[in-house]
Amino acid sequence: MKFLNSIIARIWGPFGLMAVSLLLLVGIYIPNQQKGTLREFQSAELKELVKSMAINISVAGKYDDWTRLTEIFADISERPSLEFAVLLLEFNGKETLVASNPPNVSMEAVNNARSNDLFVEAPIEGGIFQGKVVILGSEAFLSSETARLNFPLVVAMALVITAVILLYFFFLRGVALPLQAVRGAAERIREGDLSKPMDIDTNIRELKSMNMALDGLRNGLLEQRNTNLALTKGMENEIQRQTKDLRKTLDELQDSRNLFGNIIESALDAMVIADGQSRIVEWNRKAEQIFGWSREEALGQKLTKLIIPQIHRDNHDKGMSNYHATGQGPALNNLFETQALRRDGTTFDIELYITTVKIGKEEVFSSFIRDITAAKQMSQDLERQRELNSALLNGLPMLITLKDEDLRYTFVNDSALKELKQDRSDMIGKRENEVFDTDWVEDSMKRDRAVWNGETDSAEEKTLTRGGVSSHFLIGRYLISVGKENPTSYLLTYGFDISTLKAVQKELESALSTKNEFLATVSHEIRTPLHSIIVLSELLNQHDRIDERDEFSQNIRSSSRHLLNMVNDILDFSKASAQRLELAPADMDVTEFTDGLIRVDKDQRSSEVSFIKDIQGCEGVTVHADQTRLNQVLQNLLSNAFKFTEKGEVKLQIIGVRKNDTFSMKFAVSDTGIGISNENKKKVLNAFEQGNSGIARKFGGTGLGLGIVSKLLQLMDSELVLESQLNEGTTFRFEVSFPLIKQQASASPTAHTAPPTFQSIKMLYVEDMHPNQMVMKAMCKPWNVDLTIASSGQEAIERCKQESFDVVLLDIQMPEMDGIEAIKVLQTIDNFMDNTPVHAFTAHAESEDYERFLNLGFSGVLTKPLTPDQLREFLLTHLKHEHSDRH
Amino acid sequence: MRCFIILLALGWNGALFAQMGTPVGNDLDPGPLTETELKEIFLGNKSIWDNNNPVTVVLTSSDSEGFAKVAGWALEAGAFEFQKHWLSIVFQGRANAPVFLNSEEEVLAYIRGHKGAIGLLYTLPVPPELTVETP
Repeated sequence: MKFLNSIIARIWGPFGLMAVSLLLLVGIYIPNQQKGTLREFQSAELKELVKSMAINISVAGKYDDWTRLTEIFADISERPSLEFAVLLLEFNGKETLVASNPPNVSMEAVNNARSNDLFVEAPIEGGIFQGKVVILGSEAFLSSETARLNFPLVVAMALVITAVILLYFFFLRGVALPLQAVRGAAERIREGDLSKPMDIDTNIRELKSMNMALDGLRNGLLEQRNTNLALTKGMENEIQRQTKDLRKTLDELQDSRNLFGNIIESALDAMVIADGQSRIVEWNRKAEQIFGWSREEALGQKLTKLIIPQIHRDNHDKGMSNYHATGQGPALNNLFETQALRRDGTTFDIELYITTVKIGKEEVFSSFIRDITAAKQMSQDLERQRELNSALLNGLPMLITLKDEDLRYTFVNDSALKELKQDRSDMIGKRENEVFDTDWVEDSMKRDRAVWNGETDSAEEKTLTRGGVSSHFLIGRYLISVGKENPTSYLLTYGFDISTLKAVQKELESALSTKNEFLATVSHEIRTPLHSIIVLSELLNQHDRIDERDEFSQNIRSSSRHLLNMVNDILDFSKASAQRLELAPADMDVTEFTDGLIRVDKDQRSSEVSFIKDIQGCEGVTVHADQTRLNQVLQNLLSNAFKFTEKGEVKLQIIGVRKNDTFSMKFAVSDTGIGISNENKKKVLNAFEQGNSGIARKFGGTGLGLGIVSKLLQLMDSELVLESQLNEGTTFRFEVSFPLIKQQASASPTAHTAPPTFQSIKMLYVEDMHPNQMVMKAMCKPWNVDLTIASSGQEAIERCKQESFDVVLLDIQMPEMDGIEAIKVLQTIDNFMDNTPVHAFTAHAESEDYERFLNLGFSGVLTKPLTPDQLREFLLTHLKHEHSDRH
Repeated sequence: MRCFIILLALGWNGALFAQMGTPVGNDLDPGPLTETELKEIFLGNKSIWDNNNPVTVVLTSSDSEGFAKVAGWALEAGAFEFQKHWLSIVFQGRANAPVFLNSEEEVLAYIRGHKGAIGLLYTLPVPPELTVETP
């Protein structure tokens, strides 16, 4: 651009363009145009020539007129414009190169030239010669002709260019170079070089004037420079002085700034300074730690984008707008809590103090930020812990208060407030005598002070009566200390409401008393038959009392049965209390059952008491029921009825009713005995209790009977109903339903028709106690059972190895080897257990014991005591079993 | 039968190996011309006589019997091949085109009127002044 504005460019630019244009026109465009025109002319000429040649050859062949051929063809070889001419004739449909000019032009060369626009051809037709004449124009000829035609133009152009170059040098020397000298002089003046005078060598008038003007300017500037030098010297001195002062000020400012920076950097809180557009201008190290942004990253960023959470950004923007409008800001100069945004996007709690600082005309906002996440968390934890403790203390079902050294309440739990019917605000900070106006206050405060003074004070029981209702409390006091370094002591007072415990204690004491009475009764009831058994047994050995032996034996048997029934009652009640009493239902012939009732009650009936049995609707019915337990219920009721009836009657009424698949039986046992007062009606159904202790003494019994009856009826989904009038009589009623069993032809009993013989049974009885061995011998003797007795498990095993038995009765509890160990060994003897039933004979009469023994491999279980009838039944069953096996 | 085959062969070859006619010419200067030299002349391979007269070959029309005989004698080929031969050498500028006339009388008349002209007669007697000496 600089060059284009120069004089040389401005003057010689058009000349240069003209020269170049001329060069392009004369050197390229015109020759090309000429060459093209020549090519067209030549192509047309060649077409005419080849056409003429073809026609003449046709004429020669047709009319034998060869006159023109020599002339035309001779002319071809002389034409410089032809590259070649070729004669092609057809023979047998194929074109053959016959002749060419110049010679030796190949067919390949002809084919290669076909694309050239100077390639022309004409057909030979109408004569004997069939073919074509081909001519290719000469490119060299065209080029030489073009050059020839353009030669004058080239010469003219060369002359013009030469003239232009000469003009250029003339102008350069005469105008351009002097002008450059003037410019150089002006440049020197501009650069301050005024030492050289203006000495431009030129004859051009205008340039000479310019040289003189420049020289005048140089002289003027030289004078001005000298003046300026003097002024500059003075100014330099002044500037040096001011610079020195400024440097000092700057150093002080830098020191101040360093101090300020150090304070900011070392601050424990984050410091963020922002301008009026909320752009961060200062960001200390603590801010880097808290927010996660480095100083370089934070500077220049908007507060809202970097550290203000989304939910607070609108408020911030409104606050800033408000401040700009009014100069007021509620957040300014106030310490408050809010939330901030970390680099990772999480928000956290901060404590923020914002103040404004005016720097020049601009106000900046300085924020002091403290991360209070941990402190807040700790505060929340403490609050939660306090609430937990408070809830714990308030939730405890006891009265709790705390008092300070001045015996003023500092804490009262909800239970205490509720019990004392006070509001917390009425108690906290006050002494007991300021809250309560009661007689126990003075004593209570004395006890409080005693505990404060280090005197031990055991818990006391206190009875509070409110609204006529008395409550018993257990009050305790002791000192507690809170804190490690400077502990604070409090007096903790607690109070338990022990009214319920007191009631339970009373009940327990009553129960204990009843138990004691029961134990005394049981002791009496056991001792009474034992006394009869022991005394009468000794009397049996006195020979002078032989005539009374039957009566003694009968009495011993009756006492033993009574004793056994009592023991069974105790065991049953024990099982019922432990919820272990269970029914064992089986097929029960109701008629047989009712018949059996008559027979069993016979021994207990007083001669003055008649027994009436009213059985209805029970004939021919079989039900699924626990006959033993049902019998036990009726025996107890009948036993009681006979026991408490001295004269009159005892009536048993049974009414059976079929209901679909069940059989309902209504039982009523009534007597005309002493009856039960209304007061004692509830008691009689409780265990251990009879109407009054005098009854037990008068009538005997443990008092367990009706309790067991009630439990058994509960198991049968029934309930005992008591109707009684004192001195008139009592009726017990209950109703039970049993599933009906289809009647089957019952086997005719044979056991009672004729005394069985057990001589065929060979039995081994394993028992370590001699009396029991003798009992077994005595029972078996009438039946001639082949009895073998072994005194231990080991001896039994030896016996079983030596001989075979039809049945083995194995006592469980024996020294050395007990029954369980023994059967395990017996099971190892080949085929022994397959051929010999081994029955457990034990006093362990619980149902789970039965199951355990059967699981161990016992064939059955016999319970002690075993009566002769029961042994007889067992042997009969075994005899039947043996017979069926043998059959 | 054998004789017939020989005769047929000779008759077939007669066109190819025809006898040279009697040469006639005007102002030829080579002296006696052998048959070979005559062949070269009628094949266009000679273009000027020693006396600088141009060689002009005069032939009867291309469809005449005389032309076929000249072709058979000089080129040992047919009339068309002989025409093509002449066309080729004329095209290349190596020879002047021959003159074709309708009869031997016209041939004689032409030769008589043009120096350096030469022809072959098969039917007419050769005038003494146009006789071409042969060895």
